[in-house]
Amino acid sequence: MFYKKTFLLSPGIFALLALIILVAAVAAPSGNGLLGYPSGERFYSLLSEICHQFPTRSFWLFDHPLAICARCTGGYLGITAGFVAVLLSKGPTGRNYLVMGAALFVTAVLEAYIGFSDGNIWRAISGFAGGYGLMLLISCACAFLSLKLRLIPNR
Amino acid sequence: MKRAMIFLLAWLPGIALSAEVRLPGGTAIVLTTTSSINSDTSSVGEAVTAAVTTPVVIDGVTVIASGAQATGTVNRKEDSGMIGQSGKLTVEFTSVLAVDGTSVPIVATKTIEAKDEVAGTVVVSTLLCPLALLNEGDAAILPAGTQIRAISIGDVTIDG
Repeated sequence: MFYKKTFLLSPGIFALLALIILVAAVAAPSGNGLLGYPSGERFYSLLSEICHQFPTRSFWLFDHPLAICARCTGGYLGITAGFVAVLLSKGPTGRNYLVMGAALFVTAVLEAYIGFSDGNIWRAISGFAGGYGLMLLISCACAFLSLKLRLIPNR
Repeated sequence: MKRAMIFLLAWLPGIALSAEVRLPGGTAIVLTTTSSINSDTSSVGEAVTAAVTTPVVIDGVTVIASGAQATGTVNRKEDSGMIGQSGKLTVEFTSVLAVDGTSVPIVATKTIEAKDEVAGTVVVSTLLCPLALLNEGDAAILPAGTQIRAISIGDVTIDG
């Protein structure tokens, strides 16, 4: 139990941040669409610091674009889903997690720069893979550091 | 009876072609800048234009066509300067043309800021060479093709 709590702290903070960003991204179009302009503008303004917010590259909700693009939406969903997967597993110390995380992350980064897929759905899937992979890598790194710093007993 | 039918047939297409459509306030409109805007070469109040990226369709009737022109101005700008000071630029779009020529009031603001180099310039000039203080920062550039989200203000009736 102590082992899990220690190495899950940092990934948990990342996942919480991702979840907050996702909620804000959905709150922006919901505010403008349901309550009327400018209810959601604060969220758009806040998230403009981390995303280009191109409307044609974003999913739309209530006739307004989400406050982050499709790739970012997929990415933050992937981070959250990756954390849930890590939480449900015994612990991301195995090489399988490291290899899988690296493969997913590298594929997503390559896709983003080369752009071999088109359309918002594919961008979101690519982002999801990247976010999921990143979370596995972060979890592996945290577990490794926890072991090295003797924060947790070696199994 | 025959005359009435002819009148009705002549009148019906007229109704279909000149349907009045209400564009509600708060409608999202996607704009794309058509030319690059540079903080060092533009001036406050200078007119800027953008084109509508995706048509606005209300009840199956296109009220703002793709490619329709949106107009605005450079609202605020700061030139780049010595000691790595970066340029800043804010453009504001205020209206877009509907299919019947009506000017639809909108609100759309985009602020661009070049990467700030002040800290790096001060560190380099202190540690290596004071001449580094002459380093001029980058101008803020809003490139052509940048998408901007606009919102229509107030209800506007348009002949669709």
